[in-house]
Amino acid sequence: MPLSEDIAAVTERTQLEQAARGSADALAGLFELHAAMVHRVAYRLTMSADDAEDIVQDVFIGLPEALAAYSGDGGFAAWLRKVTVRTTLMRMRSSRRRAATAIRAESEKEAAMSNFLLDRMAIATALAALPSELRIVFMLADIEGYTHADIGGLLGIRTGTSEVRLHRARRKLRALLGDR
Amino acid sequence: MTHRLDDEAVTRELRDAVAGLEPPALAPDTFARIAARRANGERFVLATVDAPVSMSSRRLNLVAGTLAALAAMVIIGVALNLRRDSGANETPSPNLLAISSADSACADFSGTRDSSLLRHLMISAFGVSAACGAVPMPTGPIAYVAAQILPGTFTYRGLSITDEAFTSVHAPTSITISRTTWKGTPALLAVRAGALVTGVHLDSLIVSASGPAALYFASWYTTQHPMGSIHAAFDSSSVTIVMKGHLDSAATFPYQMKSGQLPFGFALPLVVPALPLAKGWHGVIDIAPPIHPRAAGLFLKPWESMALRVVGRERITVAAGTFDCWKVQVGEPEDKSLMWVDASTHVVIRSQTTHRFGDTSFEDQVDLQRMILITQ
Repeated sequence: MPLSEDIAAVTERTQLEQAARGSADALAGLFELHAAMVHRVAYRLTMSADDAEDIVQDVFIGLPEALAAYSGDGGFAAWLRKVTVRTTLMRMRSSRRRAATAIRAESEKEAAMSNFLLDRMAIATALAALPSELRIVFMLADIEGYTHADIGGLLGIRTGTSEVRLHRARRKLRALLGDR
Repeated sequence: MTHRLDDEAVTRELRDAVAGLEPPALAPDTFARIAARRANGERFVLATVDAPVSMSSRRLNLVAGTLAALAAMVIIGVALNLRRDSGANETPSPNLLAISSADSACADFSGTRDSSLLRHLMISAFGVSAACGAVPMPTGPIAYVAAQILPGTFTYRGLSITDEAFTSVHAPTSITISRTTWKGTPALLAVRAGALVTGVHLDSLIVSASGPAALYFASWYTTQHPMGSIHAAFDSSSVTIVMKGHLDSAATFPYQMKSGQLPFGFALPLVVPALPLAKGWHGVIDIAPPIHPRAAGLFLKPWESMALRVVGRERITVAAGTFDCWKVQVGEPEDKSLMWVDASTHVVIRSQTTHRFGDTSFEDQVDLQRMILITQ
């Protein structure tokens, strides 16, 4: 391992140990390094800026205590990403989404009119209109790179179910984005 | 851009487009708020365990609701009005055995105290529950034998199944039942340790009553956290119970839980053991939440009747062991709610309920994981 990577690894380990002991400075350092990733993952899964920000806060509030469960295998960023995914899913499970459901029909209509304009607004609208069980599988598989076996284990569904949902998600997204 | 793209190209384009999707910038003071919340003692249990996270947008609310009902005792009160007939009974009998309970939140209230009862109900979902059963015993046609309720610690674990694809395993919860006195007469005290409360140590219990009213109107309003003290007060015009002690707590439970359906499941271990279950036995239990005036409206109905009928005997195996059980139908057959009650100890070994919401059915199952009986 190159010396710089060695130093980085030692620095990270020290930072994690200090954060686990309650050091606010160490936690701030981890926030600076990883908050953007946590925010991005949460946002993509929820398609809600408010929820994503709440999840960022939740993750970093809970991180020092959660570090006890971090074994060091696979790298901290990957572990934190996984924790973020799980935390987001649990939050989504416990949230009531009436508002999202209410606006869904309108969003679908708007998204369908976007004529496959892959601009960010259209994508965001289409993703928000996607049923969450499809969006989650799409995000985990196509964006986060999870295997269907991983997704199956995470969501408690069969691998085949994950594959079917991904297929449906892609088809639905295409429909929403106007691929007729 | 072409409207007709082959699947791979569309998928690739979608992937690239979504991968480039960035959330709006975080508020600049995000970390300051995190640091402030931590400084206030707030904690959040992150989902680090590799257990499935059940998800379904269509059933999202059902899952959350039933989780709340299963895993939490929120505030419950059980008043028993036992009788052989299953006819309607709109008003409680004067001969009530009342078992009331409440959760004291394990949430962090340092600094501020939320005056919203509803908020407390939500937070309390994974906190500590306390229950106190008091005499007089009912003198109805069905004998309720409180002596049959065995003191001990009973650990249950819930499982929710919406269909083969969606299963959720709940954290175990323990109920410790012990004997005490209330107004000089025998009573039961039950304390439940929730998912995030690993231990409860009761130092004192003060019960005062100014009238003969049954305890089922008891309520609670004060809870404190964190580690070091627990103070739960049940208060009404007639009864005040103050417990002092301390609890071992891992952290606060992070999610809001809704009140909603009464979690009968965790009240039943206090009630069912005292019933004279036998082949062909049936009866009706009336269950009421301890409605405080401030809580009016939280519950759809102030009074629920639940018919119980022994429909068979089965030997079942759960984590706690294999038990020879009475199979008890709860409600009507079409309700598909069942309990398996150990024939010798009358401890509830398993309860199973199928909920229906439109075209969706949802099954809850609570199993006894461990049982430690206490000789008093």
